Amino acid sequence: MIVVENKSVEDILQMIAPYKKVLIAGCYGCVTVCLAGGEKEVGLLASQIRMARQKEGNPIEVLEQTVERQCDKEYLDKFQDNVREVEAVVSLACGIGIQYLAEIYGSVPVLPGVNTQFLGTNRDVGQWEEFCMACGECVLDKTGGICPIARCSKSLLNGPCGGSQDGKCEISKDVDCAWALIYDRLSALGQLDKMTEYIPAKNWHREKGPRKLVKEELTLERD
Amino acid sequence: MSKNTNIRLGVYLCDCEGKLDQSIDLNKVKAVIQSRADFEYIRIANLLCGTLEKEKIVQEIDKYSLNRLLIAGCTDPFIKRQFTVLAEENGINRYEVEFVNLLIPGKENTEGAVSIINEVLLQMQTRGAVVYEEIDVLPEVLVIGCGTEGAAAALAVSENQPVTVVDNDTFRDGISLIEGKKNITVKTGVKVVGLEGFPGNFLVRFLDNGKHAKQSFGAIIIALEAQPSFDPIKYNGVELGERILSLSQFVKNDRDYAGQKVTFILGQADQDSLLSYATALSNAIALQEKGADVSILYDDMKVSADELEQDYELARARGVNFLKYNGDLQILTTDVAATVRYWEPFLPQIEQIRLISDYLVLAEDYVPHPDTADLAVVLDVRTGPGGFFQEDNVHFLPVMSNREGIYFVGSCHGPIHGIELDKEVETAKAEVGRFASGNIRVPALQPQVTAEQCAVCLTCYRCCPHHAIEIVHDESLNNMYNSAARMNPLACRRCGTCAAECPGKAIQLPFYSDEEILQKVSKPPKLVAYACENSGTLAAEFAKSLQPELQENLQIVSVPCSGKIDALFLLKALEQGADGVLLLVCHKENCKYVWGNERADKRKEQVQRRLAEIGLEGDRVDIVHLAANQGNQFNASVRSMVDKINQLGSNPGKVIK
Amino acid sequence: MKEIKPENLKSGSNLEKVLASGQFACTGEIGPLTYATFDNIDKHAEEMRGLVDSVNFTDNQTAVVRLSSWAASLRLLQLGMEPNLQMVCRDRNRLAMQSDFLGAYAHGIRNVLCLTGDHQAFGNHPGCKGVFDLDSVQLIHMLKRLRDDGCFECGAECKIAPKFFIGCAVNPFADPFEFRVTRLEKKIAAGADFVQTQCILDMERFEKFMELARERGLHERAHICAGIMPVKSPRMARYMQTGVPGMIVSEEFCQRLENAEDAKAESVEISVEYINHCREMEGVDGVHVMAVAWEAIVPTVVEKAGLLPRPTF
Repeated sequence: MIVVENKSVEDILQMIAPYKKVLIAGCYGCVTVCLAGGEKEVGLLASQIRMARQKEGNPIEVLEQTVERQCDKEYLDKFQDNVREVEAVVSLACGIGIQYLAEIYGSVPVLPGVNTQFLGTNRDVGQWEEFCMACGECVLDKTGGICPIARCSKSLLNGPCGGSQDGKCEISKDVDCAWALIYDRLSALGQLDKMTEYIPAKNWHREKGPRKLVKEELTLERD
Repeated sequence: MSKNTNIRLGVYLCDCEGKLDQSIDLNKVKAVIQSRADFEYIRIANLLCGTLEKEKIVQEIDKYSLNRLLIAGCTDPFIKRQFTVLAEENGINRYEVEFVNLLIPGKENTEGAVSIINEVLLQMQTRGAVVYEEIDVLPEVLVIGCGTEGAAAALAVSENQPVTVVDNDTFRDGISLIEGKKNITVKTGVKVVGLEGFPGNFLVRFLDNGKHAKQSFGAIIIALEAQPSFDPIKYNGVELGERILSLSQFVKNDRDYAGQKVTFILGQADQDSLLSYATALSNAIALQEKGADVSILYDDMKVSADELEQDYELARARGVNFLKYNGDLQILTTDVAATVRYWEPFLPQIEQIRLISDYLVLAEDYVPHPDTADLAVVLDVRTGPGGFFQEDNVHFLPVMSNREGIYFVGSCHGPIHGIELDKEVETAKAEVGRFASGNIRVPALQPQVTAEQCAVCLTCYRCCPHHAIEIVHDESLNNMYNSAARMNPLACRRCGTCAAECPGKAIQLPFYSDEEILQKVSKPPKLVAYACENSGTLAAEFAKSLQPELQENLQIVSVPCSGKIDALFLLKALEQGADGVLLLVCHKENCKYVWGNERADKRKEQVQRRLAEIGLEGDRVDIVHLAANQGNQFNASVRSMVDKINQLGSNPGKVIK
Repeated sequence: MKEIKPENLKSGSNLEKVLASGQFACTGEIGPLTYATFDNIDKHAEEMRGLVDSVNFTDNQTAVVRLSSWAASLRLLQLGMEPNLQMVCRDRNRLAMQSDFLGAYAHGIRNVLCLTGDHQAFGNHPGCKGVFDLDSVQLIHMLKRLRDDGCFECGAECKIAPKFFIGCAVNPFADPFEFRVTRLEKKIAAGADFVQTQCILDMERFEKFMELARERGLHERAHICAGIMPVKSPRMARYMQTGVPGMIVSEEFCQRLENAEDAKAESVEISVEYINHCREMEGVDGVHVMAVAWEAIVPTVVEKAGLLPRPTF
């Protein structure tokens, strides 16, 4: 899932300072799952904003609405009535949703309410961990199912650097050394020979600029 | 819930043995509200909580087919409980019973009484009825552990329903007690490795002598016995041997001690339970009767159970010597005798006393069965002090776990002696007995999920202390996953923690929906207190009788558990006009629903952070851990909060429309 | 002393010749400063002149911005001594690395030490984007192809290819220990000609490491030089023991410094002992003396260890 973190209310208040009526747009996708942009958070943020502005003697009207996914146009259409009502929209979706919302409603400023962090797993309530960097070329077969691109601080491909100690990364004792994890996993799998295999320099797949994926056999012939 | 078109409401007005005479004219009240013909029956009583009155109410429920009750009089929590129990026994759900407090000292207030009764009546007449579900359940009970404790549980339960007893070991001392008995199946070499489903329909996965197997059960009783563990350090490094035995070694051997001097030493180990005391006493009596010369050397003789006291008296009568020691003792042993040297507390001047015996029997500690930790993970049940099953929480005594349908019997949750065991077996038997008929009728009061708002994020699933939630897939569920969380009515204890954690606001707890709760704080007074019904609400009732005026500017909003207090409720109360918000929650480690009060603590932190972010004082929100009987503590907390609010001044963030 | 066949030399650097001739190598190290000056380089170069076979220049050591290692290397060349250009993967992508190598070689730099580099979080720009386009093994591989196959990483031809004596680091004190020898083997297979180890402050562990390296014949496939660090104070030793990731400092080492009347003298003593010990160890072809923030002690250590005079060619 895409993991996001809420922006500070202070930042959001600054962004919406010029406006008297805004919409907080939530998303039932990843940001709900990571407890940052679902209907609940929309309500909490709206309440905070109303009180903050009331306190300043500059009241604001805050509308609240949450849709299934902000990364699909059909769901974004559901915002249209509310968007027409307001001077700006604060989206609590990931960077994708915020941009798509801004694209669809080009005449209204769309502002980010979250900082999109990473692609990760939800280990338990309130705990997320980066697992993937969408590098475009998966090497998990070579690394025991643990991604060195996303989980090694230096994205190394040929084993741990000299800073690995007691299974921890050199940057912090709170960070696991991905290559120590890989070593242990491959050892458990009886595949330690993979540690000796040279993995060549990586193609970071940026040669075509922003990535697009088109599957011709699936696309519709729209007029 | 569904809209009930057939509401049959009974209204009872009680004048509390004339206590209301001065302030409220009940006849007038009756006359006024009778003019609304929306109820089935109304009556004034003199003392509604009297025994005869209750019989009368039962008859009236039957006669007028009443399905809702309004009781106006006092709202003493214990009397309220009596009426809810009475109602439930007569087919009226406790949520269909409402109480109105008329017992407010002060001037004449008949009009006030009429108005509040009318308000509650309106609510009762407009809301839906509790719906009951019939659920098929399996009567089969699984007992895990085949020691004597598991065997005792199996024997008792098998009187009513089939029992399977499994044990990872092949030889256990309970097997011979139950093998071949009617309704009992014994399987050894069987380890429980997985559990799915809910009470009434658990699917248990086994490793049956190395092979994977599975079987369904209605309920599970855990009876993995604690094991004695002798720690020489507690006896200054003494080693067990011919002359020195641990209590468990002694119990197992069948040597003839006639004419021998045997001394039990208690108090150096197993200080927290009565087990070694009970065991030593019963063995001492038996030994003495068989002609041994028995002494019990103790530092503090624990006999705080009826039957133990009797054993103690009996032992004295039989001639067992009771000797008290103080502090440390030394044990010396030779081939022919064992000597204890100890300080006698009442003779402090003289040297250490030397007590020479033929045999010394030493109390030892008890440790959890080695499978305990693994099984706790597999069954998702909690452990507590010493790594034993069951947390240190009075609400779970004697046999309850954090999950419905899974019970603890015997020393799996700490050392236990026989008399207590019998009580536990009886309790567990009654609990699993609910499944015996193969069918259970339960009110569908578990939280309801709106699939459209459910992101299937697992937050509720993970936050549920009772493992009562599953994610179900069904084409009818209208979201992109065609899936949603579902609370199992037999597993759910209705704490509402899930509803408060849901990031999509998809979960609503019947009778405590966001709408109902936020309605109560739509125009709040200065102070709002969200109160757990197990502590805060009751303490508030009590406190009202001590200092009623303190609650004039206070809105108490009751929730079934503080785990239900949503961060949004706190912000909303402030946004809509309150100057301060209190959370009244149970004491730490005393939450009826495991960790609701811990969640409340975290939400308070969260809301304080959110207030700080917008420049409001975090002090406007506070949490108080208190018990139901702490009315004074309640009043003190309210006073201190009011003082704080007065210092801070009016809440500048309130948005009054 | 073995005879050197010039046609077998890969780069012709002084360090390569020392090692190829079978003589015990001795290299030094200078950390460039964090401001625009060659002052410390000029000073320390003079102190080390004639005492070491080449001098390493660190590349933004500990992720702190410093005068660049190629500029420092160039300065040393101008002073008539031989540099060893360190390059880390943190700050450059493969494009920048190769272009720097072309320039460095054209200026006459012949030794390169390929490193991963400390994470940027350690330094004075912790929020910067660490490049890590290549890892150190890939960097070595790229240099070897450039030298031996005359082609860039992309495969295109390089008409006048830089021919470097390629070095790598190895840290016998990091985990997983068993993998450290494997990693060295990967680096050698990728093209490393010589190896400089992390500084040895736990001789027992290093001996174990060398044993494993010899088992795999690594000492015959590359020249292994042992890292020697004169540690200025007992406090420094304790800090390295607890505060530096991937470092093991033996308790004995710390205590010797702590119990010594003159810690600095004791430190020199230990360094000399370690150098002599390494000289006796099969498969160790030289020492790399890195006196971080104590460069001035290098002459004393080298002299006391009897490493003088240095061979000339």
